[in-house]
Amino acid sequence: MNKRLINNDILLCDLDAFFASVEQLDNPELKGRPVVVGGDPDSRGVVSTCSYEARQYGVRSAMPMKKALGLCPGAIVLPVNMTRYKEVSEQVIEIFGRFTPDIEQVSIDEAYLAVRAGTGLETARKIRFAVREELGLPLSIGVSINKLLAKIACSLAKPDGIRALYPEDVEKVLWPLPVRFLPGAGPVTERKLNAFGIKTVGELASFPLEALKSIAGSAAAAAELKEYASGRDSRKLELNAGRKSISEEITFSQDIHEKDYILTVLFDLASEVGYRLRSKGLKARTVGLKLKFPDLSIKTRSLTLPEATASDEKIFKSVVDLFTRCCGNPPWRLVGIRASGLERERQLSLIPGGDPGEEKITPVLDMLRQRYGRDAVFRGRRLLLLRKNDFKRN
Amino acid sequence: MHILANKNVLLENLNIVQKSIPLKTTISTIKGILIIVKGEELIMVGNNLEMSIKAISNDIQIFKEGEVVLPVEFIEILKQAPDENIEIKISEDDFRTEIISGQANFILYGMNPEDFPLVGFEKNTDRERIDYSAQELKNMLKKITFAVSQDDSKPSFKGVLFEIDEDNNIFFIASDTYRLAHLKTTLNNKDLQPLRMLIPGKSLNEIMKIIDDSHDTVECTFTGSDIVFYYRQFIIYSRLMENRFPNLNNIFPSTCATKIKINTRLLEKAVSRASLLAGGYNHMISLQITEDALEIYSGSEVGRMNEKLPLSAKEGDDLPEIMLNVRYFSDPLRVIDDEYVEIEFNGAYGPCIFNYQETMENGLLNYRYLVLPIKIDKKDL
Repeated sequence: MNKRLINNDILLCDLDAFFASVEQLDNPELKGRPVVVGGDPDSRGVVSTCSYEARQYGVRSAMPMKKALGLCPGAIVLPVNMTRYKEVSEQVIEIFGRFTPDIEQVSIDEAYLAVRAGTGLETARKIRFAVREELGLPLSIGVSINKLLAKIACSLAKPDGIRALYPEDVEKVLWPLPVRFLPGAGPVTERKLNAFGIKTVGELASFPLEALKSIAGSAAAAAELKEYASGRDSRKLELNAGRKSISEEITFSQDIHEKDYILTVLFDLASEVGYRLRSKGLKARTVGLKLKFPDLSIKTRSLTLPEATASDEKIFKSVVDLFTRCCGNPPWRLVGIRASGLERERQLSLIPGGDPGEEKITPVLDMLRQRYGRDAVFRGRRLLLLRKNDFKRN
Repeated sequence: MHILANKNVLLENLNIVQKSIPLKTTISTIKGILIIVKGEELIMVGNNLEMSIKAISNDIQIFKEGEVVLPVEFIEILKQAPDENIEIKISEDDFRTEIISGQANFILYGMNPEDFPLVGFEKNTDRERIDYSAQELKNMLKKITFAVSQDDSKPSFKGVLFEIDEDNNIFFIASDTYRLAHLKTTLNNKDLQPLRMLIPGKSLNEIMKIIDDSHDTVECTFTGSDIVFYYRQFIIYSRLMENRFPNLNNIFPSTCATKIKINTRLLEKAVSRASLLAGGYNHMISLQITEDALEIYSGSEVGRMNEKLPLSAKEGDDLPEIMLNVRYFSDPLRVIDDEYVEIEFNGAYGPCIFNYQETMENGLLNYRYLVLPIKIDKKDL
């Protein structure tokens, strides 16, 4: 880890209603109107992002498009144009890069930045100004000294604002908030905590650790919750120094016991990693598996392939192989796949190495996916996930 | 069994037999060396179930015949023995073996020779046979074996295809799917049945190391399941592989876009310099051919280089840029013993082919080597 990151201010920059904002930017006549980006309402599509105007009607992300249109009949529905969003996202990251080299991009519209201690608020203002001036996009920034407080500050700053939340404000600002503001307190944990009379972060902070263990499921999970509730967070920024790896992981809202379900999730993650590799024209030499258990212990294993690959099938086979060898004891709390040893060049072969069927179908699937979204076409196996629909992407 | 021998006489043979002793195996007897003392001879045998080597020593004082399997430590014991003279005594009931050298006494717990899997080393008239001089065979093998795949996921490519056609042409072919080495000779002195067999690359590699550049004869005899080489005091047996080597006979294109002739050693040295900075997992270099020169580039995170070489002849188009694995491109240069080499190119993504001929005792040796380039995948979404 980078030494410079000790004693830094941490910013969380989050583009407000990003997809909808980009659409409003590209089509000025949509400004001030309820814009909903997502799947087709006639084919059970869901809302991916909606503008703040649409949110006033109660429209939310992940809501079925039909329901969204019921709430807000005047909404303008647009398909997901990921290529364009990625392009804009890269421009935003470029602006961040002028202020600090230490950037952890969390998703297409969210990034943590580390800046020199004491300069956080001032830098945040400059960044927000630059993004608005140059790209015309609204951006919310949370300023603090760790990821947790920056994230919470950012949710308080939304929409289109800046908010600082320092350790000395924890008692006044953080403690009155409901526990769901904390990472690791998903709906299930929240319900359990509520049942014990813990509604606010402050109540959680003063709750005895011993008693918390049975609620959180393990000593480690309880300790982590307590740390967060006190506004402490030791997680470091994961800096993307160039593109060294591509990874995908899922934290389950409930620990998973079924191996079959895990394998399905792994297939889903493998397709995600494969898609991201292919869309960048990369192949990976090394495939890694990450598992997290209820006691928060983490296992990672990786294997190096004889030939670099971007095939969903091959990535999946490798992780299944790793999973079979080191799955540990159920249940699992998180699974992730990491592809590293990335290369752009490919040694041609006399004998076609891959499955010819897969090689034909993959570009078609990628194209469909790129044009119509993640769920335009998928393996039957994925239905298991959609049915459960209880996990969130990290 | 009871003998007296010179340690160097024993070690000369053991060093060869050792090549067929498996490093990892669960069968304890094959982890050792079978020793047979019979008549005037001491015979030592190793067997890793793919390859077995038998060596015969004569300059031994034999007091009593017998057989035993000794653990591999026997070899190191001989190497470190204080005296030239080694006395070996075996108790016939429990195979305890006493090794005496100077003041040093060793007891090795030998194993029952009946448990050792012995393969058929006998010369047999119903086996097909080809003779080569050691020099000739070594020369052919070294042009082929480097192209054998090391990848366990491609089992068929871990062998060398040996083929005899109706016209008594003999082919040696090896490929790791990225490149292919192809050698053709003719055999005039004997009519052989057409055949195709896949010989483990590892076995041929060992043969290549065992034989030297002499004119001593190597008798190669084979059946459908094995091949046996007789060379001096050694007999080398190798199992054949299940022949699933694909038919790659039409792999060489009949035309080419660019053909050059260039000084072999000059190119070899320049490519070796380029390899110092060849980057990535594919150890990539790139080549460019203009009217009268071949230019080589390479580069990695640590730096880059380029070098221009004169061509002695060129036909066809210029070559804009081709990227190649530096090892795949330089391997054939090391085995081409001619002042000039002819190389054909077929654009940036087509095969690159080396052509070379040499006169052997039995006639002409035709060598062709094909390597496929590296393609840079453009961002495609």
